[in-house]
Amino acid sequence: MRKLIWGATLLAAMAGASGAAWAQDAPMFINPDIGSGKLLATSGVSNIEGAGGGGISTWALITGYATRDQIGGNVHVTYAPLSNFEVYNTGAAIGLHNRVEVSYNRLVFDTGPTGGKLGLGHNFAFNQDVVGVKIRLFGDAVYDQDSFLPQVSVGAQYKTTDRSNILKAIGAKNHDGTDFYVAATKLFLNESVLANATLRLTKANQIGILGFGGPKGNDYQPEFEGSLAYLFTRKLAVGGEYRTMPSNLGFSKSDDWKTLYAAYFINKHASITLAYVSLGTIATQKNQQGAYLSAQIGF
Amino acid sequence: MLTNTLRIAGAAVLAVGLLSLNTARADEPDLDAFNAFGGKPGLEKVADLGVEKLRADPRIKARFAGANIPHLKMELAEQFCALLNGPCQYTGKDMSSAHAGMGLHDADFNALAEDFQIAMTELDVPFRYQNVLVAKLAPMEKQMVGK
Repeated sequence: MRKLIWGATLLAAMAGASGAAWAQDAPMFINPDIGSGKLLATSGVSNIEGAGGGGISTWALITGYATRDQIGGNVHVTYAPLSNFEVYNTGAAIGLHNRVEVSYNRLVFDTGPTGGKLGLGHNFAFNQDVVGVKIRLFGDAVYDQDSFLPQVSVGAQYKTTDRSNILKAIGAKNHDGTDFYVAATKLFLNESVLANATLRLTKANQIGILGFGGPKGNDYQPEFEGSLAYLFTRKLAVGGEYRTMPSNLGFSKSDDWKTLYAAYFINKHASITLAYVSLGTIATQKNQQGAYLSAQIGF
Repeated sequence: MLTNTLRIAGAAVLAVGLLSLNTARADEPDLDAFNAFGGKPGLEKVADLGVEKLRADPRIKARFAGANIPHLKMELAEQFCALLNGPCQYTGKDMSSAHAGMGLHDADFNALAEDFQIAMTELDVPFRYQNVLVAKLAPMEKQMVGK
């Protein structure tokens, strides 16, 4: 049933995104407050934690198309069918004056039939809420083409996952936690390449879906997120990502996450991201891979 | 997983380093982009179509109401040519004084960039060479906006 509802939501969002393509590429005038004054694609897309970024990596770019004079925002839906699990995302984010990003995301991790095998029950799901704040410290990924200085932002994400009894049973120390990160993003326009590197301090098991900390560690660990994308046109970026994870739990290891993605920016109000994701072992289930489909609509 | 972190970080640093090497490999001026635009005549076409798009763009057309359009096109073609290492000298005003008192916002600057991107695409300039020109223009935001 959940699959049906989410499928319908995603289809509606895709239809909305395509519909927005018929709208004019740009607003009729420059609104000094509500904005889409930034260049196409410089919003990034909504990542798995609801932040502006790629699919699994968080970037230094502030989400939306608001310039320093404007406020912008967007909503997104994401669906990722993996080998044994399914991930459903919905969220919203606002970008304030190209300086501050505030985001909310709800992630549903549906264990489907695998939940029965794991003793959790058929279609058992973990629900995770993430509230994120990101602040651009210095640099502009687009304008600073005359220097090698990247755009640098810092951020924090408070994450809380339900099912705390189950999380305790699998060894997680907490059902909630806060990640801190510093992200650097640079557009090498001369090469048509967008590069991002993020250092994250985290205790999260599988980004927090399986809680925080565990028998093998309960300290903040530095983890890396990297992304490289090639810009084929003004509207199409194709790239890959890599993200490392702590391995705090005893009952199952975790692996680094990888994606290959294509993001299509229909216009400043709609984008669609398609990816192949490879997330390794999750909750003893090996080789979790699959598709990742995300739609974003913004103003 | 920290060893992985370091390994990946090292690879990223290497990748960025290679990118920067690629941009500064020789003393000879790189004319690839200039040639991809079709030389000076091609850049004149870009200036011509780009300015026509600006004049039709409801977001910024008012900015060009009193401008000497043929002169603007001529100066832009000259500037683009010089920026792409072509055999031209830009003789117009510097960007700060040319835009002094206009009260431009980032959104104006970006609207102009978009109009030119669309013009270049219509004129079949390959996207990667469009970006070489935009990369030269982007830092001018600091001289043009908020003056």
